[in-house]
Amino acid sequence: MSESAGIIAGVRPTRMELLALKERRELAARGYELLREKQDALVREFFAILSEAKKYREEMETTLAEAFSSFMEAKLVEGGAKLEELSLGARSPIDFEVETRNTMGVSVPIFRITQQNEEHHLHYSLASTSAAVDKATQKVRSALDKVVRLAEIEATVKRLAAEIEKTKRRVNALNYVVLPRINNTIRYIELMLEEQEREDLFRMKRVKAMLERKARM
Amino acid sequence: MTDKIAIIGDIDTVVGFRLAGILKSDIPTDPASTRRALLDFSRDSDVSIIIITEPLAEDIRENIEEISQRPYPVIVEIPEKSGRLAKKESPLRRLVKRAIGVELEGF
Repeated sequence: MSESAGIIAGVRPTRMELLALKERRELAARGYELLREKQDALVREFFAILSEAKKYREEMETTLAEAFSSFMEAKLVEGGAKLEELSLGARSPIDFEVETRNTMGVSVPIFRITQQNEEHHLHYSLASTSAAVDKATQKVRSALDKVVRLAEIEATVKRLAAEIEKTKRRVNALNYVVLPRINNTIRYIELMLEEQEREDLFRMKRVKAMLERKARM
Repeated sequence: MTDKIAIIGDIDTVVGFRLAGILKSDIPTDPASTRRALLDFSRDSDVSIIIITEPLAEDIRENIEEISQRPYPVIVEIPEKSGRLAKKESPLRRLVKRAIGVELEGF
């Protein structure tokens, strides 16, 4: 028990106060248990999703590396200026909806990809460009797909981490500040009450002695 | 329409992703313009994902961290075509350290 936590300021040493404090202690202890359980559950979820995040990141990096090499090939064939020109007319082949899911009080984003048939979305005429450009475009699209999935999962990891930190702070505050302070205050009141009792007893003895002396006179 | 994704990167990365259909992009030439691009896209309520290449992200780490506190947009860092930055501490590893309080191998 920590002495530095001190006692609750302005508390009166009465039996009523003592009872109220004991109730508060029970409540705080239960809150502490619940928060500990929440923290454990969050940490489990965090690790499960973390290894997934790692897998997705590696996949994304592999796909992206492939996309870059196809892109550089296309650049060799068509020239950078042509690719830039093509890219300006590009339309979206990948679309997604943004939703929010709630996991243990943490809201995490969901990007629901609604991808359409890719052939309909080639925005340039097939005749005027080489196969290399098509291939590069396809590759970058699949990399983009992975990036969107990764965005979702990394955001989830981040938010879980933030929630774990928050919960940890509250658990620590209860354990190292709130509970010790309540305990110290309870001990203080109990000491004060005992002291009062002793004083009362002493006073009664004195009164009794005085009364007896008076009676003898 | 994918005006929900924005990309900030070098010219090859940006042209590549534009071919794949991303409409919002920026090719900054210095940290100040990288920062401006990031802030502009993050203020754009249509944008929910910002893709940025690692070397550019390194220049404006503080802004990235700050925006990451918010729900949206989500920022994803990707390697440039030259590959992953070797010395960089992975963002996941940093998160693990903060949340759990210990260093973990392999992230």
